[in-house]
Amino acid sequence: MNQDHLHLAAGNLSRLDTLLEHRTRLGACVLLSTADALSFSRLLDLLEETNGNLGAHLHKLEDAGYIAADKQFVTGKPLTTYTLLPPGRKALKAHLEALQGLIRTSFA
Amino acid sequence: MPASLPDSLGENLAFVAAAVQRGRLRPFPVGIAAAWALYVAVGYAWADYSPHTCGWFFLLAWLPALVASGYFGRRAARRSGDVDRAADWRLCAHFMSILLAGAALAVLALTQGLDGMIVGQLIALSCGLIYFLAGVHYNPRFYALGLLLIAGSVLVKIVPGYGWTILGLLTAAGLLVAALIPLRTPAE
Repeated sequence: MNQDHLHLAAGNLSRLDTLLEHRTRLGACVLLSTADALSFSRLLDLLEETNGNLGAHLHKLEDAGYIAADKQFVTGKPLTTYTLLPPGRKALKAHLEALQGLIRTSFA
Repeated sequence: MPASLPDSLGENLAFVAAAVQRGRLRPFPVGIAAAWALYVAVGYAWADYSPHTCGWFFLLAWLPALVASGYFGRRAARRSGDVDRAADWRLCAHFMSILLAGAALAVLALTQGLDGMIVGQLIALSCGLIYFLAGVHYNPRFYALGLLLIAGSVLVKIVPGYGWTILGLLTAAGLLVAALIPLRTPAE
């Protein structure tokens, strides 16, 4: 890898969103970007995480304003669904573009 | 993955890709399967019992089955919290093509004077192709059902008097099995 590639790679690395560097948070945002809404239990199944871990990661995304939680009762049982908010969609797009750039420079 | 990319990055991307792959397999609500299993089992048995009147059953009973499908689909989505209207609409449009094929074949039968047995076989063949393509595009569980209907459309004359009843029962069982077997991604 020459000097130019190193500069490009460093530029792409700096554009990565630190919040989305964790695979569970990245996975949650990618999954939410493909659906209107997903429940906590559906995310739990798809990401194969533990209750506590997933809850903590989703909290971080909520605190950053990337996702929104909607708590309701369906047939008497509590159901929490999550949606990706516009800031989260924008951050995810930028993060994925930075990842693509990083991969491109690595293969060049 | 080249050595210059951090290993963790490659693992993270593989993890996300696997999660997205799992997300593509959406549950097939048992209520929907039961509604259409009842429709096809009764309709095909009727075809053996009274071939000249079964058309009325197929013509009138699809609407309640469709309404039941909508109800069970919405209920399953609310319970699971998996809401994807675009995917729901694509799936609905895919299976609505069965009704379009049935309507077109009914018009052909009336205008060209096609034999009722042949029309029934062509409808079963169309349904088989549509289910097989649902296996290709949406869920591999529909492959077997598609193949069953395609084979059934050809073999239905082998058992005179009971061919349609047997095909209807096998199709109904296939629908219920498709709804009840657990979801598995290819990697699993």
